[in-house]
Amino acid sequence: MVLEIKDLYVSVEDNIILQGVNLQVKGGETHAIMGPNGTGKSTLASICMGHPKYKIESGDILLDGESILDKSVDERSRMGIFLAMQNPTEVPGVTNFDFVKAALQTRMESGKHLRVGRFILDFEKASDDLKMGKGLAHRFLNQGFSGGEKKRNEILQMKLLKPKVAFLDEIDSGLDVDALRIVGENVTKQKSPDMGLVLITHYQRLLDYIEPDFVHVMINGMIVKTGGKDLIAKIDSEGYDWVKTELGITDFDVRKAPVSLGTCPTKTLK
Amino acid sequence: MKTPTYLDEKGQVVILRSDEIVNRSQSVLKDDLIEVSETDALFIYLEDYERKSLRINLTSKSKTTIYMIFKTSKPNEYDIQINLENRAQADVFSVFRNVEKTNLTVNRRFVLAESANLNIRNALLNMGETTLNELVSLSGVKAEVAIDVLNIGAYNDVFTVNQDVSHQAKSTISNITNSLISNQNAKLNYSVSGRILKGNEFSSCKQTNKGIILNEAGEIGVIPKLYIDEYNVEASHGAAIGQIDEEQLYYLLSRGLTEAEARSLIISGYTKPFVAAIGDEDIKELVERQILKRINEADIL
Repeated sequence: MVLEIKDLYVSVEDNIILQGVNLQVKGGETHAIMGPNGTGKSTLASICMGHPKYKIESGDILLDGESILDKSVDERSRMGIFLAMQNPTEVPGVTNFDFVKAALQTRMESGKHLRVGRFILDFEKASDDLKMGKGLAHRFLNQGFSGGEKKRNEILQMKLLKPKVAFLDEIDSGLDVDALRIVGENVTKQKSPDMGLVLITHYQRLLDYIEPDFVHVMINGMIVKTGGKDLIAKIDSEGYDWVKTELGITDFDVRKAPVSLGTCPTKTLK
Repeated sequence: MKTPTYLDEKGQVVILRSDEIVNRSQSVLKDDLIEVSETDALFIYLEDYERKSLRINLTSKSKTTIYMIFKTSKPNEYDIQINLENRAQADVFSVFRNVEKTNLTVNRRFVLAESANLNIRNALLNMGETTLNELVSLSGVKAEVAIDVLNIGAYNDVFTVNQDVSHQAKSTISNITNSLISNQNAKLNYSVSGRILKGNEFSSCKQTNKGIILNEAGEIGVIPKLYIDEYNVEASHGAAIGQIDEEQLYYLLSRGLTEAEARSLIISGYTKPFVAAIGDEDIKELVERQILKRINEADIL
């Protein structure tokens, strides 16, 4: 598995959010993307998932060599992209069980059906691993969940859907110390040569449990620095100002997308 | 006229229609009054019943589930009064079936005495023009009512529903939940009123209205009203009506469901909790069939 993001420019409402992002994630690798608020980290995850709010100005995203830009959100998911969201949406009346079952069923070949007995056991196992309690299957999707439960429920879905590449967008926010450990351990257990991981986070504490192979710093819509674990400790103790100073980045270096002013009328000579 | 076969196997059945009145229950039926004593489930089947008025009395401390099945093939209007005596408990489940597009008006009044407890569940899944006027009087201390409505409209259906709960005693509780779906040109108009009269402190009056409009020509109108004339009470109302939530749709798509599957699942979120609360398996199947038919007819997917 290889996910390649090539010179990606993305805008929303005429504001350029990503300014030429390049990233390659291979199966078995764990990448951490860190950076100040509003620098485009979550946008990068959302655009890979295909959120309709964002517009790709130029560049490409390839999964195993195939461009996914023309793929819809659901097609990307079935191809193996997963996004554990920062604020998972509540869907009243739809149980967790029905939802995950439908998500697995839709991945199966036409005419084949999910083995429900096996699925129930897998669901219960994943729920136990994440210490989510017995009633989870029959609770409505994210409704009435605490912040921590919502995040653990995202990881539960990741465990069951087994994606090729998973973006975990601030999965550590809203988690207490014990929940963070549980999530960290479960994600680490799921690491395999068949899956690439992209962790978006502000804090070192998540990376204490899920060890990254690469750490990227994103500022003003660009990956401006890439390093190893030593980078995490430095960011944790000194913040991002030293990166900005080192690279000469200003806080207002955000470009506007080019806007068309219309075309001039033309006259065809007879 | 033919009675639905599932009623043949039921122990307690009252059939009211134009050409015959049948009482196969332990309840006493005299003129337009049914005296209901304690029973597991009583099925009242009304098919183009021409006497139009009906009174149902639930005796003190009785515990009963009543299934009211309205089948209508020509314009009709019913006036129904249901009384719950002290500490009576009842679930009144109503399903409306029209064999053709027609006009049906049902005026129902529920009167609850002290500590009576009533659950009203209405499946409005029929064709044509339907008017449902439901007045609930919580006249005894600690009387409690929960109203749960599932209404799916399609084509040119028009539903006009007036719900009015009047708290006439202390420590009374009402809770209304309306789940509404409109497709094509269907118009669903709801007026939902809760009244806590002076002196009836420690009462609670709550309303929740949610609706999905699946087509630009469809309409859902809800007017939630609270008339509160006492300080020491709880009262709330809310209405959330719109198209299918884009963020919910995106979330389900992001897990691989196709748009049709995602829409279907979101809609099932409106219907499934309602269906799950139906105790009788035959009625549950009947409602599920009607929902499927309505959804397919409505081309929701």
